[in-house]
Amino acid sequence: MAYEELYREFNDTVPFQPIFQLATQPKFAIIASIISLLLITLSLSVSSSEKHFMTKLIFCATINIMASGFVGIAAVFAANSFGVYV
Amino acid sequence: MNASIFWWVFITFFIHMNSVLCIENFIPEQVWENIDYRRAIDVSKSYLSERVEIRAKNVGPESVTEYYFALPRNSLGKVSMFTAVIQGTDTYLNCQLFPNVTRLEETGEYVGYGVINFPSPIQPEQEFSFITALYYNVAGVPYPEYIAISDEQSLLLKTNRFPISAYPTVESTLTIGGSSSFEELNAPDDAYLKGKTNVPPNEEAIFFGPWDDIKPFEKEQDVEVVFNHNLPLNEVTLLKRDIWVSQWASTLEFKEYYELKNKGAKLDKGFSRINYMRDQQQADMRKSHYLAIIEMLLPENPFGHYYNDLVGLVSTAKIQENHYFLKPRFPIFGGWNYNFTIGWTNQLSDFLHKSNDDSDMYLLSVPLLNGPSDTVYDTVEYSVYVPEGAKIADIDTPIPFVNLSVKAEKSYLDLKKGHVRVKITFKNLVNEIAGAKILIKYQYTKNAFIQKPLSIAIYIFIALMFIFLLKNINLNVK
Repeated sequence: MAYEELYREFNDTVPFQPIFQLATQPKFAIIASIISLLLITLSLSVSSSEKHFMTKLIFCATINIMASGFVGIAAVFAANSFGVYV
Repeated sequence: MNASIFWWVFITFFIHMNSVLCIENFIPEQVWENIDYRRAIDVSKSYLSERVEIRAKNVGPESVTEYYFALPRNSLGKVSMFTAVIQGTDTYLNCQLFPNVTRLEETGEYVGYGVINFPSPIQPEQEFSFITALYYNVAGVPYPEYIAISDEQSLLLKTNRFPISAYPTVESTLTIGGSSSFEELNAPDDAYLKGKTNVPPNEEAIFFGPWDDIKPFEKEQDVEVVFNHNLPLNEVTLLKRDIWVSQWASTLEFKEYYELKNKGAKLDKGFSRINYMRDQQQADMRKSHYLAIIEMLLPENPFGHYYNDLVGLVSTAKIQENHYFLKPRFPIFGGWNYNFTIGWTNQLSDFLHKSNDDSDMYLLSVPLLNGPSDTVYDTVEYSVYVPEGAKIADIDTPIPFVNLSVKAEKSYLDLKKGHVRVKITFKNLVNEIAGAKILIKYQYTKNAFIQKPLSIAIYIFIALMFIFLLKNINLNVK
């Protein structure tokens, strides 16, 4: 595409809008970290309990999926909060 | 059999080499006559700028759409910008540098060309007026080469006296301006060729001509002019400019590494701290030939600034809106080098737009340079890192580049192929074109956007399930 066309297209389009503002990401990082720690603690306590293996497996897998998700989000928000923009 | 193979290889090689090398005996078709050729050189900056007003007439039998603008061959490799406009308008003409050259038999020198294409054919006997503008990564040389700290710096400029043109010229002038004083060295005895000062309307310039009836490629003794230029000659021999796009943080992070040199006059007796401090006290806003403060012009609303050099973090820096004033550890005198790194961050929304037609398409517009004013750049390595998982759709630059490559490069929390790096190499830039925009169009789907936390989540999930299995597998031996 010619430079003029691309330049015109840039001027005709709307600016990017972020989903999460940078200023709010430290708060979300802290919240996500706390939630993920609580979920991991719950998962570890369930895995140490005397319940049936399959019950524990299903319960722990479910909690671990949620905990992993929150850890992923917390890692991204925490990195951005410390100035390491990922 | 062997001889025929040899000749086949030789002829193939010869034809191939001819297509790669320029033609050295090229002469443009003699279809133009320069009615008026007014050349003006501005020496006020660290680089030369030249403006040539040409009124040319088509003296050929047919209509013509292109004009070959001649340049000394050694200047061709130093041209930063070559543009032309129709006189009296803002209409730019299509220009490009031409690879073929002409060898002048009398002097053995070579002449290169820039080709200017006109929007419509110029008919026989029709005149056409246009203005060409050139910026060169070339400056005057210090004259004398060595001076004291408190001395004023002068530069020597050597250039062709008569216009270099493939076409005959009816009338021509040369004006050199941009300084408060000019003196011609080794001036010819002929008053017709000598330069004159105090000529209205520009009394501060030196004026040559008018000369009449100049033949194509006619050459006279070169002009040597000494002028006062008591400012540093900033040359960035290498700039590595990295720009990181983060859609998660909504930031555009800039990081620049400079190798800076002052091409000005060198110190005659070496550096003396006492003389330097005395000069600073007496300076009283006077300009100086050494660089004590570097002023960077950043995009609007920057934050997160930092400045360090090879020793470490440098705290002598001040931010004033989007002006970043850097005070190096030592002043940069003529012949001295200084390497440093600066960085800052901007809001991504100022540079990134989202396509109206496709919600996964983004357009990035980033300025070419944000460095100090009055600076030339020998080599610029310009890298834009778009997010991991993005696909480049288009890249466009308003100025020619030497090299362009697109490849992956890993960075923090990149668990797959890494960020997509678009690297463009430029040569011979001047800060006059700093505002030019590099445009990159890329596709970044919503799936690619959530890949980063998802990739981290998958690794954490595997680790947690592994811990679960370890806790629940009974390894006791009964």
